[in-house]
Amino acid sequence: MSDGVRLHPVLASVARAAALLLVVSIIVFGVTALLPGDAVSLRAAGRMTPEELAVLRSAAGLDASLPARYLTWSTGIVQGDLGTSTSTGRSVASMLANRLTVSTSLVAVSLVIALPLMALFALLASPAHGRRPAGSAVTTAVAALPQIVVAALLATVLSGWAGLVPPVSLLPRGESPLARLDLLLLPALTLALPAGAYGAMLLRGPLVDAAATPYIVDARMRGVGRVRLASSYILPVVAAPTVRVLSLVLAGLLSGTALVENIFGLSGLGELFVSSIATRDVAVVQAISLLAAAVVVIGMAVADVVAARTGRRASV
Amino acid sequence: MIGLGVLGFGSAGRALRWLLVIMLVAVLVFALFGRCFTGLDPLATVARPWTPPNNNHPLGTDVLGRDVLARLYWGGCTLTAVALLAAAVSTAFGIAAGLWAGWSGRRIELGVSAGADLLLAVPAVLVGLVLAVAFPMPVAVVFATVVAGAPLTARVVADVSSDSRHATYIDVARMRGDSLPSILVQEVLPSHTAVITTDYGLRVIVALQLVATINALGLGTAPPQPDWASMITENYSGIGLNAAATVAPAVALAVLATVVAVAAMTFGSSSLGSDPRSKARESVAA
Repeated sequence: MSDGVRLHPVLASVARAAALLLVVSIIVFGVTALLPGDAVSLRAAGRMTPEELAVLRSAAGLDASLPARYLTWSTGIVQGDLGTSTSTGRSVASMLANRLTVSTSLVAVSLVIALPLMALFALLASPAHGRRPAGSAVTTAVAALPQIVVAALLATVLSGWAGLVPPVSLLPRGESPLARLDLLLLPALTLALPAGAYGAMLLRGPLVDAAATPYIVDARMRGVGRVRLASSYILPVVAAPTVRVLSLVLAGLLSGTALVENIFGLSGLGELFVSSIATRDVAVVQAISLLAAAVVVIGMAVADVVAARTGRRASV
Repeated sequence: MIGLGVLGFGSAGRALRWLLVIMLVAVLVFALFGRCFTGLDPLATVARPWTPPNNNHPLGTDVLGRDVLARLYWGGCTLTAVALLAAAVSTAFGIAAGLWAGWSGRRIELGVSAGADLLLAVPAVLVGLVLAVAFPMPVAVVFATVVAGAPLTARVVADVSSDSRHATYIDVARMRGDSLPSILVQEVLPSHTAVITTDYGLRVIVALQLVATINALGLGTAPPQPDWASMITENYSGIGLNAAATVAPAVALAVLATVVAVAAMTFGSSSLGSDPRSKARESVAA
């Protein structure tokens, strides 16, 4: 960190993460402030007088200046209060909690699918004898696919032709999403496929660099076995970048739920995010954006700590 | 990168490269100017909703009984144009900042700086969705692409241009009395076209994915207008009646994205391939 004071690496990463989250929160708040109209005027839909609207606005705290609103909002978050939804009047935390199970189940299943896919794609795209094989074209192509395309094509194949899963995943009320893995399969696969390829592309740089370091080249020439080479030589070198890549993949999966949950009819955080943009429920939009940012920031902080422990740079 | 070794040498590689060029041109022409090749009306209701493919309508009809083929011809234009434009603006900003930084000897070490972390921590897709409601869709996409992409381009360009700062041909141009802008544009930039090509391709892909998501969620192109991404969501619930209405635009988008991505990597990396410090790789990684 700073040149003068040397902080403990863990402390330094925590400080760095906190600073990063602060800046991200300002950006998120600023961007959501750009939304035209507000929840009050949208709900009133022209049926109220300007005076009535003003009363409702001041009750919702919408009449304060932007910096003042940011201060109220951010101090609330630090104290664990995510605010109140302007369109439902309920606390944002309780609204998120309702949706959290579906989205965490979905993202968890996606991650379980994405990790082996990532390893597979990384293997496909890894350099053999200094040349990049045709497999990297496949990895590049899959990573380039827009999420909506993956959704449509997978649904056509898995649901339309194979008849394995239903095209929409309407979860029965009160049932745990994890108990209905058949309903989660299609959305999870849709999230995992491009995310796995993307992660593999991010990992390729560190892997190529690692394979080229003198001590690994030397170890290979000494005849160290493949498994030992991977586990004791290459893994420590790529551990920190891998954690970083994982946190980015995780964030990608989380952001991806915005589209995927809408397509497949799951009522999770992503679906709530999009509908909250439409109703200008700014507090909900902010909370979900910040949650997604927090995942990356915490992941990067962990990567920093791993980097400090393994004595490597974490940069991807 | 269809096998760098293959593409770099031999006639088979050259044939593959030409094939890729032809595919790239074909897919871009179809996406941007597809409407010129059809006399069909993309907005007219011509049959019952989700009629399966038949002789009159090779791809059947959509949710409102409109001809899917006609909408396919029309639906790539806005999406592709916005992605190409957003990427161009982003790359232009990145090149300008990168040349400036590289020439003044500053290395933009985004890889370790807090700037890179910030770039990664901001949930770009979510912010893009909010921006798409706040501004017209093209403005939102250009803005989000520039903010997320230009710093990465700047770093790559700064790295390669600071390397060529002391090249002999630059000294020659300097002694010839060329002005700084003309040295940068005529001497430095042309020697890094491969890096810039790859980078531009990546920006196009990122922008395309953002437009597709925005349009698919109905936050972009207005409903009656044909658009490949929104065609998918409009017709998804009719997938059991006329799958072609969903599959056709999905395949069109998939071909566009993959051809652009593979072309960008192939043409960029071909001249970077021999360089062990391949900078383009880092731009992907970042």
